[in-house]
Amino acid sequence: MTETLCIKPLRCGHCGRELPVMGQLVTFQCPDCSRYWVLSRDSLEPVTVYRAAPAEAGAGNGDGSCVYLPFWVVEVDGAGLKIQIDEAVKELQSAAQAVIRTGYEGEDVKKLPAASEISHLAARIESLGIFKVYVPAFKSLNTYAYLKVGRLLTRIQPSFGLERSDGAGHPILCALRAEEAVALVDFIFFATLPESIQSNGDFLDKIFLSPARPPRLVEFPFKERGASLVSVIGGFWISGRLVQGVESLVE
Amino acid sequence: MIAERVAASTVSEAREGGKRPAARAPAPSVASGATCPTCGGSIRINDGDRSVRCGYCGSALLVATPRGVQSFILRPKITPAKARLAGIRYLAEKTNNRLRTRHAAIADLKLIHVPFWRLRGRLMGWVSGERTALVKVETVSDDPSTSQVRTTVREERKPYSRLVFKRVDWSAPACVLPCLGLQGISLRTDFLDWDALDDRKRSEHTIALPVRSERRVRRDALSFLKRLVVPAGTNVRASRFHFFDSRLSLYYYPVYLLRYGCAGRLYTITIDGGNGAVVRGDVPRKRSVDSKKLFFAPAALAFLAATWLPLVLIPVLVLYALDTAGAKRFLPPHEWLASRINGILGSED
Repeated sequence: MTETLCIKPLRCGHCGRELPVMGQLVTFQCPDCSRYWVLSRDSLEPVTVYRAAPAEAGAGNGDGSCVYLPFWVVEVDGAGLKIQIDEAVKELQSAAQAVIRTGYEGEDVKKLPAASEISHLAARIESLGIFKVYVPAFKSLNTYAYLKVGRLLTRIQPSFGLERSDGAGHPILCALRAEEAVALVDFIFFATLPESIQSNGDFLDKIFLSPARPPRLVEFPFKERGASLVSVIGGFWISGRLVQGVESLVE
Repeated sequence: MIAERVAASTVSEAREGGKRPAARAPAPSVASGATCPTCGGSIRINDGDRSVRCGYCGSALLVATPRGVQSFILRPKITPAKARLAGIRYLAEKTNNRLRTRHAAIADLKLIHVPFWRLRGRLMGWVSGERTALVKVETVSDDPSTSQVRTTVREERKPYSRLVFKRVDWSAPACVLPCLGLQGISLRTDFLDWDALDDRKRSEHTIALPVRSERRVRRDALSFLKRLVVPAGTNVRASRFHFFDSRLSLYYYPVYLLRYGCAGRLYTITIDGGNGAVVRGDVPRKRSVDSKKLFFAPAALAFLAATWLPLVLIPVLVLYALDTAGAKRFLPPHEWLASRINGILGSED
């Protein structure tokens, strides 16, 4: 049982310049070369940060200043996910038929979700090709913010353009590591499902989402409207209180 | 600047008359036991910080995920003399001043640092199953001539599912100490000044060794939290949980164990080394006399003593009266008694 913290000098892996101290945040930007770094298990890894731009030109150019909130975007192969869903349904169906044959009705009877909802879900996932799960990476006072914002974006599956974010003096408010984001993908996906499927544990127990490629760190623009933040992409709103300001996180 | 914008949004919200944003409690700062690689100064790290600045040379430092488990120790806030006094007071109070130091001989007073596992982080998960509820059902009889309503209780199962996302701060003793009396120290850890436990401190203090492994602790914590998030009467069919941003650490908390002897037996009082409160104590039981036994046993004996003669005489008199009535003549009592005794014992004739 080792009991030492791994303390290292916080320096840019490219130019060697000291990086700014970010408190609980895990992303750093070099003030000299503007490169972004993200804390992996025990070292800094280079990361490309993207910024989402609305697909339609002119959208989101209204009044109010924008706040950019970071998300890990995990891409899941839709075809693979559909195969998993089909197999889960098949397995549950065969279990149900075995029960009908034996006439046994006990607690262990596997239940099937509504066929129409499953087929609708499978068709939608297949049509998307690549299914994106959005894992919020910002720090929040309200732990349900992760679920709420992630669920809203994942459910909408918005289309947007991507541009590299590499302007100097632009810190990213990311407080979640990439490997942690990947581990949360299942739960955010489950939160987007209809209630009848969500309540079917036998079905969900067989679904495991695996990322098709490494997650990407994307900043999404939100506009301030009073106490709320309105998503420029997707159009939904969240309470501004869900997002923890960086004044308490950054020195 | 985005950082400023987010800060400004919360400030403007407060100005506009909305509720003030919830103030974040100051993160407890602990001496990490680590030293600055540049100047060798001791580094203090706020809980959850991933990067810090050295307080001595000002270098920016990266706090990578600690390998293994970090241990912290708390120096006792009270002296052994105060602990002893607290124990004696407790003894006097619990025994209504019946037992004092002149009756109880203090055998020893030991300061032990007791390990507690503490797991902090966030738990995300999903649980699904069936919730069982008892429902009262009223049914009207089929017979139209009677308007009888029958009430039956039926077990009803409803599908249950829940997504769980909560902050976790769980702690439990890491060693088996029957006289400890402390269940967890989560709250205490936030307000006390802990030091990192290094080899030097380990040799200076008497510490109890943890007996539960790291893996078992994680499993125990998870099963405890699973039970916590599922309401009673729920049959869980499937669940999946993930701890993230989690930090497992060992906290060595000081307790004084005061042992004293009384009437040939040893008893232990546990005193919190942090605040001097007695957390648990054994006191000799007063030999109490049962008042019921004191009253009822002599009363029963007195009753028997007072009534044994009538209790014997009354059946004899009844028997004599019956025999006299049966014989339809006066039987001299002594003859009747002699014939009865002969009848019972058997005559030699």
